[in-house]
Amino acid sequence: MDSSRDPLDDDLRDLLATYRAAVQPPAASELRIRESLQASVPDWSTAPAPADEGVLLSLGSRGRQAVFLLFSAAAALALTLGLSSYLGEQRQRAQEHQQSPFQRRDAEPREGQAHVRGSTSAVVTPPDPREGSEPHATSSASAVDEGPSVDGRPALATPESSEISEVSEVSEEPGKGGAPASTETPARTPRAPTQTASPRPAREDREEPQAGPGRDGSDGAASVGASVASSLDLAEELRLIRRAEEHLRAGRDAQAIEVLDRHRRDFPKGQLEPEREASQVSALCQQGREREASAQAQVFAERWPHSPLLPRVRRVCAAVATP
Amino acid sequence: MSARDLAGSPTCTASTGAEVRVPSLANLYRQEFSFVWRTLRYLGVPPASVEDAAQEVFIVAQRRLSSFDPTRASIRSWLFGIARNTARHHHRSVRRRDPGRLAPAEVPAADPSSNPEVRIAQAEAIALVERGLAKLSPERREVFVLCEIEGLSAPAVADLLSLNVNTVYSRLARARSRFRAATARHLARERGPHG
Repeated sequence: MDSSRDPLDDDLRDLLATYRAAVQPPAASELRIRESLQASVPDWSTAPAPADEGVLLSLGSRGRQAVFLLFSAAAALALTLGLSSYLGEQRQRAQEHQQSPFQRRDAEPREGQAHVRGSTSAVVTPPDPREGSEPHATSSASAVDEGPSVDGRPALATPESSEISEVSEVSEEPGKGGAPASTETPARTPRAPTQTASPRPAREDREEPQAGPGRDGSDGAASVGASVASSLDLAEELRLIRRAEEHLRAGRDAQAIEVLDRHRRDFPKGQLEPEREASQVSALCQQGREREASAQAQVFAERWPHSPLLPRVRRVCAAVATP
Repeated sequence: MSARDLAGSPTCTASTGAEVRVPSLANLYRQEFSFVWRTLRYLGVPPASVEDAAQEVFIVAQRRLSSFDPTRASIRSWLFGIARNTARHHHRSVRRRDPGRLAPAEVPAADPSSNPEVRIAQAEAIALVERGLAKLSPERREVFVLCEIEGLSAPAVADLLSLNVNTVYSRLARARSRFRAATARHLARERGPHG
């Protein structure tokens, strides 16, 4: 380790170690992704032979140059074709515009068409992954795909230089997924990669209560900013819950309940809502309000049936119910 | 703690890999899945999106694996590049698609059956560390997480990120002081009242 110059102190190192342990992938996710990849990648467990793209690499620089020239010629041709059709479209539109200057609304859908037709080589609008695979996207996608792998030597280049192509690959994936190699499209449809994070059975019970849109003023901030904001909230929530737990351990039930009430007021749908409700049950029990406690325990069990806190909640109430 | 031992493990030093052969996707997945997952987290992909992003990384990796040249970069370095681009792309697309959908910070840590106190400590670590990381510029953040969280040596990080070793050292020094400042107040407060 290069902690020789101005190293972090032990507290911070411990903190980072805890963090590292906390962000390990859940086994369920590992399994889900593995299954989905296995289903969609035919040569999952075979090391790639230097085949299609590998040929380019083994061509040597002169061969590569030839291929590059060939491709640029093709690209130029495509561009010219696209451009001429685009210009044609433009001219037609201009004529139409002259004919009926007041029917702007009619012209609008054409504008969309012209855009698509004129953009054969340049713009590939990413298909919405939620729509499933769109076969028409694959043809243009593969054309674009081939581009950077010829002149850019993508995998070997620094990540910065290959960024654009990678990004476009990512967004086109649903269309391309099973297309190139596998005619046997997998029976289990692989999860679309950019599918927006709904099926997460393992953590369902935890995320359900807060799954709605931003709790507090999420006015389109970047997701980093958003996650910082929610980290800040979480830190504050933690502070409250910890304090409540300390009060509980010290037998100060009333104060514990006060702090829990404050958490309820400030973070009604907070990320530590289950923790709060579990502590609440304990506090009620300690205060001798058994009936309320067991009613709340019941509610807890219904809302978070898979919560790791549930056994504790049940134990507390059992201890109270059978004095 | 065992995580700390792990962090010090010298897995990274193998990253000069001159005669390494290109692995199959299955092997790559087995060896590097955790690293990719953590990297995405370090680079700010919200918890709710990490699974999608990790899958994307391996899909891209699979398509490019045959053109990967082990003599020019280590496989980990290569994957890190893909993960970095995926993370960026994720930020953009999340913002574009539904800016209203916030990623909830992850309270239940990796193992839902672990005991509540551990989970609370982990949640706290997540909140605090990610707040500190967010204060770092992307370049410093990369160096910082690889050195301080993944436990790679500075030369290994230089190799991984295609940087000069001195650049790694200077970014690391700045990142450390920034991170220290960002977390100091909180740590002090925590230590103050009780122990």
